[in-house]
Amino acid sequence: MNSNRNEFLPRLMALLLIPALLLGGSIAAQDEPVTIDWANDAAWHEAGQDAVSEASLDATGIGVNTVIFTSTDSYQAAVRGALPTDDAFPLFDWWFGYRMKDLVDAGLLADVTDIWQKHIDNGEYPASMMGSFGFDGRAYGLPKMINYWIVFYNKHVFAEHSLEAPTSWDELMAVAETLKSNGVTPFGLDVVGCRWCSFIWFEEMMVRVDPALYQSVMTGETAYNDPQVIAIMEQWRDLLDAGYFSQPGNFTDNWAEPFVNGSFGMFLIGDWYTASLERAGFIAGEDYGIFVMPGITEAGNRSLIIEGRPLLLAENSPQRDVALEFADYFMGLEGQTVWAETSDINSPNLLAPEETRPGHLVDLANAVANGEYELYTRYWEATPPQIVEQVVDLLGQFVLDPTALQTTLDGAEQIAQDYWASAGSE
Amino acid sequence: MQAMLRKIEPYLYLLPALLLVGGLLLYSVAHTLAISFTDWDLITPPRFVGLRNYIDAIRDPTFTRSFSNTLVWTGGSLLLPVAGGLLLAVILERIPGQRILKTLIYLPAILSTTVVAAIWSYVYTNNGVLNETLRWVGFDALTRPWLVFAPTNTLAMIVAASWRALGPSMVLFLVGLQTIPPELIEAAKIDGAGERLIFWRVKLPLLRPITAIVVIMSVIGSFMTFDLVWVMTQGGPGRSSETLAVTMYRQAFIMWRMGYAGAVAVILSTIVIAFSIFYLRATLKRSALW
Repeated sequence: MNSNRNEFLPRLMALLLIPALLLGGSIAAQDEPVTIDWANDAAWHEAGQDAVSEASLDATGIGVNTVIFTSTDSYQAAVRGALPTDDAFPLFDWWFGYRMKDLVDAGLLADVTDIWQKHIDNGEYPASMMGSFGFDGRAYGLPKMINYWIVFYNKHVFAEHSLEAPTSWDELMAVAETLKSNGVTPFGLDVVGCRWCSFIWFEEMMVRVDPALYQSVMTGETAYNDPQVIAIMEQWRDLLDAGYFSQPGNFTDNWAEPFVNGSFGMFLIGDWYTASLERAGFIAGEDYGIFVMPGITEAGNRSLIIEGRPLLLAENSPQRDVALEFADYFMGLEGQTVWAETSDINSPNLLAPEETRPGHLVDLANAVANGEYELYTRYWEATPPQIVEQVVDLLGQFVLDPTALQTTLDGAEQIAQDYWASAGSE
Repeated sequence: MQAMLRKIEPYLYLLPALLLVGGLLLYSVAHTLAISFTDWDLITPPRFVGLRNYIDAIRDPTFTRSFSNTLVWTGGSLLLPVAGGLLLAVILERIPGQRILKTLIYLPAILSTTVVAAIWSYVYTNNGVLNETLRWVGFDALTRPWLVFAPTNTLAMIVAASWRALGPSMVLFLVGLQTIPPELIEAAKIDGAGERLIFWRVKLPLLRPITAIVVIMSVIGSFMTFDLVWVMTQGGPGRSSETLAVTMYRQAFIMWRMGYAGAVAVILSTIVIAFSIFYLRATLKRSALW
C-alpha cells in the first residue's frame, strides 16, 4: 500500500507532463525548418525547385521536397485521387484556366487571391494575368511558368529570300506568298502526330481578328457557328487553300527537324519550343527569330495568347498554411529570380532581372510589362476540357478537309451546347 | 487433426497465388464493374447512375467507330500475324538458312511497342521510307499520307503491329510443326498424299492446339490495342483511328469519366472472355486441352 502511494505521485506528474512535453515539442518544431512536398510531372523542373527550396529554407525556414512523376496521366490520377484526402500533396503543378475548374468547384484548392493581390500591387505581375488562374475574381493558382505563343521563323530561309520579320498582317501574307512561290511552305502545322495542335490557328485567328469574340465563344456566350466566327474561319480556310500550310502527315510531332532544315519558314507555338530548337542545335537570334503574330484588326494587334503552368495548393493538406507561406516567397522577386536562374524558364515576374531571361524573349517580356499586350488564355484551357477534347478532333478534320468548315463549326457548337446545358443543370 | 492438415496442405500452397489473383484481378474486376454504374471523376464521391454509362456508350458514335476499328484490328491481326506466321513457319521449315531468317523475322518482337510506333511513324510520313520507296519503284499513284485518313491509318498501324507480332506466332507454329510425329507424314506420303494435302489434312489439324493459342493471343491483343495507336495517332485525326482501349483510356484519364470508362472496360472484357470461351470450346472440344 505504501509503495503504491509512493509511486502514485510520480506517475501522476508524468501523465501531466506528457501533454506539456508534446505541446512544447510542437512549439519547438514550428521554429525548426519544415519541408513540404511539391509534386509535378516535369523532371526538368527538379533542379530549379531544389534551388528554390534551398533559398526558401534560408529566407523562410520552409523547404520543398520535389516529387517527380514520369507519366503525366498517372500523375494526374494520383493527384486527383489524393486531393479530397489528408494525403493530398500540399503543392503541385497543374494546368490553368478551365483545366483546374473542377478542382475549384469541388473546393479542393486553397484560395491564393491575397498573395496575387500583394504581388500585383508590388508591380510584379500584370493584373490581367490573375484571371487565367481562377474564376469569379478569385485566384486558386500561382504562375510557375507563363509561356507566350509566338511565331518562330527560320532566319536563314528568310535571308535567302530577302525577307524580314513582318509587323503587319499584310506583310505576313506577303512573306507567306514569297516563300510559297519559292517552293518553301510558309507555315508548319501538323494535326496527325499532334492531335491538339489543330486549335493553334483557330485561337490565333480568333484573337487576331476579335479577341472579345474569342472570349465569348470560350464562355459559351457566342456560338461556334456564329456568322462572325464563320467569317474568321473562312480566312483561315483561305490560307489553307492557298497552300500556306505543310501537308498533313509531312512530319511526325517533332517540328524542330523540318523547321531547322528549312522545309517550312515559320511555325506558331508556345515559347517553350525554344528548348526543342536548342536541342536541335538551332540558336535563337542566329538561326531563328520570333515575332508576335500581327493583328488582322487593330484589336487583334494587342492580343497575346498565353499558356500557364500553375502551382496549386491543396485545401485539404494539413500543411496548407505552410504551403501558402512558401507560395508567397516563390511568387516574390527573390524566389522568382532563383527559379529563373536555375530552371532556364522565363519568369512571369515582371521585375525579374533581365539577365535571367532567355535573350530572344526579353523584348517581349518588357512589352508585356509595359502593358502593350492584352493576355488571353490559350484555347486548351480557356474553355471546359469536355468541349476542348472533342472540338480539337473536329478542327483536326477541318485542317485535313477545309471544305468541312460549316460541319466543323456546327459540330463544335453542338458539343458546346450539350456541355453548357448539362453544366447549367448541375 | 493430422489428416485434416494433410487435406488442406495443398490449398495452403495455393494460397499466396490465390490471394495475389484475388487481390489484384478479382478486386479490380469487381471495382471496375461497380464504378461502371456510377458517375465518378475521382475528386467527388461516385454517384450511382444505373445503366446510363452503358446506354451512353452504345449511343455514342465514337464508341461505335472504336468498336468497328477494333474489329478491323482483330481481322487484321488474324490475317497478318496468324495466317502470315503460319505461312512463314511452313516455308521456313523446309528451306536452308532458316536460322538466320527466323532470327531476322523475330527481331522486331524484342522492341518495345513505343519504339515500333516511332519507327513506323517515320516510315509513314509523307516523305517517309514507304512513300519514297514507292516513288523510287515508279508506283507514285500508290503514295499517300498513310496516317491521315480512315481506314488507311488503321490498316497502316495494323501492318506496323504485325511487323512485331509476326515473329512470335511464327516461332509458335514452328514449334508446333516440329512436334508432329514424322511417321504420320510418312504414312500420308506412302498413301500418296501430296504436300498440299498433307498440309491441309495432316499438319493443320494437328496444329490445332497451337493455332488456338496463337488466335486467342492475337484476338486478345487486338482488343487491347492501345499503346501503338496512342503513340502513332492518339486515335486521330478526329478520333478516326480510335480503338476501344483508347476510348477507355481517353474517357478515364483525359475526360475523367471513370464510370463511362468502366463501362467500356466491362464491354471490352465481356467480348474478349465470351470470344475466348466460345473459340476454345469450338476448337479444342476434342482435344486434351479442354
